[in-house]
Amino acid sequence: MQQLSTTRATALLLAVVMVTAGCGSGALRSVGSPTDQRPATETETATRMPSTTAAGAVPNAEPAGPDATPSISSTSTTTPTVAAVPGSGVEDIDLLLAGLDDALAELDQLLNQAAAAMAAEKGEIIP
Amino acid sequence: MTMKRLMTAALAALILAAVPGMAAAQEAPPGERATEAREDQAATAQRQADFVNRLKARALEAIDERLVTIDELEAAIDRSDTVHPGHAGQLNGELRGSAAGLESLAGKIGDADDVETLRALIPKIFEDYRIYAVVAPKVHLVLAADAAGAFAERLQAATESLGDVLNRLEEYGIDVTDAEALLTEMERLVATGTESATAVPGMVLGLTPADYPESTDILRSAQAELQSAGADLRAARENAHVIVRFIRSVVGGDGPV
Repeated sequence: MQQLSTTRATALLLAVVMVTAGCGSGALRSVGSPTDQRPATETETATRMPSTTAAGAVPNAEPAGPDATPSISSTSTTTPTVAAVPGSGVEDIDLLLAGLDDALAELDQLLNQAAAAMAAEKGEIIP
Repeated sequence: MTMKRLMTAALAALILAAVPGMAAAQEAPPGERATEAREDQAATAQRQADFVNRLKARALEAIDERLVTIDELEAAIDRSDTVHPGHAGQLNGELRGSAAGLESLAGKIGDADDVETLRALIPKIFEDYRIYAVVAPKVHLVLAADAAGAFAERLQAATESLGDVLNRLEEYGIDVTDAEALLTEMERLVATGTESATAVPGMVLGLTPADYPESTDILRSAQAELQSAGADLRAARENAHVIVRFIRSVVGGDGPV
């Protein structure tokens, strides 16, 4: 039973790390561009996480810090808690928001430029 | 008494009006009058030439301004990481065509030497190209719409990622009801925002200078659609913030949530 809890904690930790890392960085990218494929792939990886029972099955997972949740092979008898997430996971969540905020700022700038272009119609008046 | 004064004044005015004509008739022999007439004609011709030159200068300035705007629009397309390649290709092609046409028109205006020719050429600057009324708004609306679409894709990926995390928290017995409701709302906002954003290019890409002034209403409708998309996507991003704060509060974090 403890081993099952440990597995869940590990899965949770890795899910947070992988999920947020997949969405947190990079500027707005166009549909179909080469770099656009990466988040989708990483999302798929994260989506597959529930059926993963071994940490080693997750490619490119960030190395766990000293406070990381015990791995599946651990013999630790401590009860894992949800709060036992290393700081790097939280930073990745922040990256998720920062990435969205950067993209939104870029979008706002383009919306303003479009509004300014609409207002410039008076330039067509014949002098 | 008053009548006498009025008659005196009228007589004086009559004399004053007649004197210059009499003086001119006395001072200008026939030969000199011909010379003055030629000088008047030359002055008139000079004034007309000056007017033509001023007209040409203003027309060429108007063309230069439009060519600068076209360069800026091309640069904006090049800078965009999110513009759809097909949209960029179409817009760049139209911009190149407009630039070539305006440069050709500038040559014709530069060669013109009479007002009538200029009257025929100058309106083409506006009527044939509509850089400010149609082209520039169209380019900016398409760029913004494509950026909104790309932003919506990022938000969609975020909804999937956040949903995955919430599912895991739920497996731990954590109550994620409120967060799930926010996520559902976020998904709805992303869907409506995407729908609005993707509609814009189809509304405006087919517009040509010949569509003016009816094009203005279409461009305004497209802008309203784009603003609606922006509002939905902005709200979706706010939901993402709230959901992430909830996740941080559950899994721990570096600071207060």
